[in-house]
Amino acid sequence: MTQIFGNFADLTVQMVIMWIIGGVMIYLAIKKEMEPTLLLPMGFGCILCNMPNSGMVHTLQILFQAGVDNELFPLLLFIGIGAMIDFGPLLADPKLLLFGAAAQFGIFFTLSMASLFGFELRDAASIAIIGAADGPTSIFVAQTLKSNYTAAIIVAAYSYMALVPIVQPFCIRLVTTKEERCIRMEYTPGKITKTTRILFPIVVSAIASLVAPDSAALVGFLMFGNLLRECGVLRGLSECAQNTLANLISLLLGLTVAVRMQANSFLVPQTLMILGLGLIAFMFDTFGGVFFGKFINLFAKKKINPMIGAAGISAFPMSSRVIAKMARDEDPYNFILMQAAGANVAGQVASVIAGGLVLAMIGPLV
Amino acid sequence: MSINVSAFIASLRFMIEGWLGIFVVMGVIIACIYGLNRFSERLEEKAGKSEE
Repeated sequence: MTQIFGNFADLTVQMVIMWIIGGVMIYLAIKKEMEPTLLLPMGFGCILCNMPNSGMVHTLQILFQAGVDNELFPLLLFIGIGAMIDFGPLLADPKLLLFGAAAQFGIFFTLSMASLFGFELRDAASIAIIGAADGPTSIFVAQTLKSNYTAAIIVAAYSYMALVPIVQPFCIRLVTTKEERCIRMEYTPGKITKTTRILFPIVVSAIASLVAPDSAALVGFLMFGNLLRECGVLRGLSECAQNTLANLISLLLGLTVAVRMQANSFLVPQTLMILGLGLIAFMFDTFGGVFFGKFINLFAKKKINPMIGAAGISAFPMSSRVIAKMARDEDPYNFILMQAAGANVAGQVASVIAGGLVLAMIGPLV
Repeated sequence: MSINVSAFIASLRFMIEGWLGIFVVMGVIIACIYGLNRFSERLEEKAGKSEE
């Protein structure tokens, strides 16, 4: 009997709290359909990793070393993401890239805030990247900088990505007037040739590699996925990357990350701080993008709707859809989806470059 | 967890450098896209003429 029930003696309250957290993740994934490919395996893994003397920990530790420790999973996931993205709206209006840059403000603001609250520089930088609204980039940076809070950072990054429809409208309404939200924008896309679509991923990879060599892997894998999509001769591979590869890696990533969600390391005050700082990063990204839009309007003859600035984050296509819906809610004939989509894919590029820049700046110091 | 003002002040450098750095990189990419568009349009124009 002691062999069967002996484990019960090792059960702690903290473990039970982690089961509840795991249960909430599974609930959000199934009932609310919030990032289910990631939250479901993460929640399940979280419960199993918090069983007394769980053998799951050993198994997932092997997967963690094979795929997360060496940053392989997030990079492979980027091939799938790259294959999913249509850079058309961005190539049609390249100026939108500036909104991608503006909306990364939250990252750098949070880096300073996390430093203020006493986090080590490596942790502060990793926490700040939650503001990229880009799960794989968060994992990549946190792992490369050997942050002590990888699991909390990943949970925060994916949770806030799923909370875009709640967080962004609140922040946008806070800093814009109804008049600004009603600004209509003409959509006059430039001609995009197939050659441009093919050369774009190659050129961006080369530029990013030259400017921030640490971002070469991040940008390179993302753009390689896009090249698969645009080249037109690897349709099968492109579809495989978009669906099978992306789903499989997300599933493995979710399960694997759960190994870092053990009660003794996860249930610490710092986790709450990280969740709070992640929210700050997300909010200030939105503010950064919107205020940049307002700044442009000071000089522009044709006014732009500052809300598209908020779409300059990496949560694609959720952010652009939310902003387009907000514009339609204010004025049923205001269609800014294409401009918002352009800013949104700009956010994808900008967030990986931001990750590379953070690594380039902070990496040598830690 | 304590408040670390000196670390905060030191990190402001990263905030300014990092954010401006992204604008610079984006500027370069924008220039490249315009260049690519022009280059590929000319390429296609030439191909069209030679076909005629």
